[in-house]
Amino acid sequence: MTTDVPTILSTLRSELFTACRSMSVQDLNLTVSGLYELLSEVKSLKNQGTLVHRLPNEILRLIFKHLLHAYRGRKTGVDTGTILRLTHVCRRWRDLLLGCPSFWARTGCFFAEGTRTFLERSGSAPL
Amino acid sequence: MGDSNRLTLVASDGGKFVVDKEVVQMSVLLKNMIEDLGETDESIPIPNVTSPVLTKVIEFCENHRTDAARTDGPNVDGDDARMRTAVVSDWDRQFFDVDQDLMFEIIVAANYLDIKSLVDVGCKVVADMIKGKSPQEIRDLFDIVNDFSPEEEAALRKENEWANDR
Repeated sequence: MTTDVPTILSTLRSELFTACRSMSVQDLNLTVSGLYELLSEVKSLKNQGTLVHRLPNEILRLIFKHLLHAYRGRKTGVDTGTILRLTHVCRRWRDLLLGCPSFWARTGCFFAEGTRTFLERSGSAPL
Repeated sequence: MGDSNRLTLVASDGGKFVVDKEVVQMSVLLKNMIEDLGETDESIPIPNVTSPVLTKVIEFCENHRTDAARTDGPNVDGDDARMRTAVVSDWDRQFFDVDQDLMFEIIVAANYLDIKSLVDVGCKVVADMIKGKSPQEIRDLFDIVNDFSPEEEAALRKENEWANDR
């Protein structure tokens, strides 16, 4: 059975526009925020269908570990850049990396704002 | 009675593979199953792995059958020790020169079968694909869409600011 996406979108648009016409500016702002969040959630669902998202968390963690290990012992900035870049790919990768304090404890960072963030994210992991 | 040094694996799609026990035992899952079963002519079903993937897994195990230290050695230092010893040979790179679908299925199958050396090599190959790429290049590589909300994007931009401000 196929989903009738155009009809779903048309109904959604029609009902939303009707409701928005009588909204205050404050409620319109809330609606805009809500729509952005909804869009992010739909995109996250789309990502769940990608091949790389089929990998279980333990495998993704191992891939990240390999990446961070490859830079260990080299210039601090490279390692810091790697972990930040990985957290900027998508929500799942970011949540996974932020949930691994040891990654942040092992990544060198010697600038004020960054050091604070890395220390916070390293939690109770040994530095 | 069949050859006691060989046994038959049955893939999820019914494909049958007669393999040396020595090769099969690179999988911790299958090694434990064989020990539990003892001497038997019964074939072993692998319900989560299709024939094309099992073919590749067996190919890897046959090529690495002599690398006992990489698979059977004590995992004393956990992932870190494996990280240090994980070596990707030219053969391994060629082995993983397949489409992404098959590559990820091989890694998932290796994880299910608990073949640490194959998991490590696969993860390292994927890590090498990612290395040095920007977030957008990584998304393009794996067909991921940017699913951050505007608020989250603002937080990412702030991180970029202090990361570049050093």
